[in-house]
Amino acid sequence: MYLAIIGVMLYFAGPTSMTEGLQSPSIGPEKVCADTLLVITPGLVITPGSDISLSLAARTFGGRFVYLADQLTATVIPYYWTHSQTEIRAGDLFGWFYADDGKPALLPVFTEGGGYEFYFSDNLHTEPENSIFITRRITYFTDDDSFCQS
Amino acid sequence: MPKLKAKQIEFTSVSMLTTKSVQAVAASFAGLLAFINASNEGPDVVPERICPLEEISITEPTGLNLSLAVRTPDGFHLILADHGFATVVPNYWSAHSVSLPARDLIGFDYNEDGPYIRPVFEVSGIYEFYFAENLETEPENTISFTRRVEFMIGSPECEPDPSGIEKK
Repeated sequence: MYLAIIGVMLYFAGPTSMTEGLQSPSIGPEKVCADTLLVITPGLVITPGSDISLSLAARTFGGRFVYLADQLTATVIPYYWTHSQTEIRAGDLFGWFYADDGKPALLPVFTEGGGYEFYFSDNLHTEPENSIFITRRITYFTDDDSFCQS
Repeated sequence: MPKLKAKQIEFTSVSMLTTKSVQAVAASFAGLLAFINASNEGPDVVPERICPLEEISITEPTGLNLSLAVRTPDGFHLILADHGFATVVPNYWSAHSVSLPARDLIGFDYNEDGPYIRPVFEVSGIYEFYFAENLETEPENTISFTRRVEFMIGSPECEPDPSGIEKK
């Protein structure tokens, strides 16, 4: 009986001892044009010691993985680490990547019309299964699309 | 008369409080400056003379989260770390000291086409590293520190650079 109670207590105590909660990140709206203001909420992993802000990356139309806000590489979104919410024009969103020669470069994220994936993670440098990895999808419409002309 | 006395007391205590507050703020500020000066732990960039193949170390131990930019001898003003723009020095905000090969130090700025990045060290000369609470105001309006580093290409003091950066 006592063992069962202790077991139940450990079951519930276990996960919360490492991570107490997650303030969910967001990026939106879901449909954007170049002039749309993207609103980004970085999100937070709440732990007993200190809270960890989630890094952000994206995949461009050409399939390249680019960093938008990452302490280990670069941060190219203004106020990402200092504000609970930040805004940037979709057409001004650039990502940081390493070219084939190993040199860093910048690339606009939104180029062609279509779906783009954004990744929030506590560690962008490991496999998704080894970290907190939250995917958000945004559809980009080019200026000549009727969605952007309305 | 008693009313006047009460007012006098009130005035005296308020002015004492104000004086004490000013003294406390002044003491804190003096303490901060004393800490930075006395402990010689202001922000720094070393070495003062650097070759292309050497490592550069950037130290910001003040706890003030100072932003960092650099002015190059060929007239570029590049942002290295500023929350309001971009941070392109790995671990700058999380570590008190960052070391990396000089050739890997990248700067960020905008031109008419949008944001761009480029290596900081491209030509020989004096590079001015500027640490400040606010990079967008005059140095006299912010806490700021300047450190100068001489970059040498093709100097006899330096190992030959196999990457073949043009000698300027």
